[in-house]
Amino acid sequence: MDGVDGPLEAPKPTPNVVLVVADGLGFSDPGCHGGAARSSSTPGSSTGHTPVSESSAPTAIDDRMRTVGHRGASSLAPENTVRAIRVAIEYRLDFVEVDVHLAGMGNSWFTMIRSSSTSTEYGCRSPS
Amino acid sequence: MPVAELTVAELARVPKGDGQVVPTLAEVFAVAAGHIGVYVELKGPGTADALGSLLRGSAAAPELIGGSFRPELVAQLRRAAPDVPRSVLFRRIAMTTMIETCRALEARYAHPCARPIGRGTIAQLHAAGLLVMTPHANDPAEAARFRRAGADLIASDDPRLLVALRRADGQAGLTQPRPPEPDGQNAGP
Repeated sequence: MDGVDGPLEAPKPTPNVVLVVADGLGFSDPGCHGGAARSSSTPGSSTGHTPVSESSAPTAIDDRMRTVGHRGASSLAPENTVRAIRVAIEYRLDFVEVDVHLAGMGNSWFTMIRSSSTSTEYGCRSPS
Repeated sequence: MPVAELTVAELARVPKGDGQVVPTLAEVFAVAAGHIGVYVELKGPGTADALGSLLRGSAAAPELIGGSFRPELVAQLRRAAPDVPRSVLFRRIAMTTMIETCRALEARYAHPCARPIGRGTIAQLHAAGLLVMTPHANDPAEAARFRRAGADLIASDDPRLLVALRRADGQAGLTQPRPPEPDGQNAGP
């Protein structure tokens, strides 16, 4: 063919690397769904953002929302029961929240049940 | 009647509905371990030490967060179970106090419970290095507002609300409920 001096060669593979360089970001600015922290207004920060080197970002922060079933999944099962916790598991929630109290006799402790209709608080059996 | 005024035997007779018995915290841990984390809200004196004792005697515990409205209980938790991430719950209080309290207790989570909670509040807590949990919301619109404002943990009585919120958040693959377990104890989604 005209214009071809020799045999065709496949292009040489290149490294599949993307290098991102950024400056003035707070710990929560980047994220695939948008950063959570918009501006820190940290005193002394000319950019309005907390420099990465100065932030004390928790290890767990990653812009992913964690879901918490309040008292298990108390709209679908009796609150603070095993069933409520199993329902929360079925829905793949990240956490269940339970309230705990020391019960009578001072040597046991319990998850707490609060009746919304009577404002009465009850507890659960001791683990010990 | 306060829990502290009831004995173990009395508490075991408290009706729960749906044939459910009242679980112990150890039973809660056994069900949750490997499947779901447990946010333990400490409600009274001695609970932090009790949690520490329970953890020392547990072969397997779920991922935990320990929190309280009472800073002294969070401080006790730091001594009793230092590896458990701590959360401090707040009623209406100044932002500076909230941050200082969390820092003093080396808490990972701030849990403001006084509305309104908007983007500014959450951004300031994030800037202080804290994760933010918002008060439990049963109104989908409010839960969505919390998420848009940047909340890291969002709670609700209704797991369906949370699943819908997660779907809107783009967390595909986490939105399909698991099938009920074969023992028939699950209510099912």
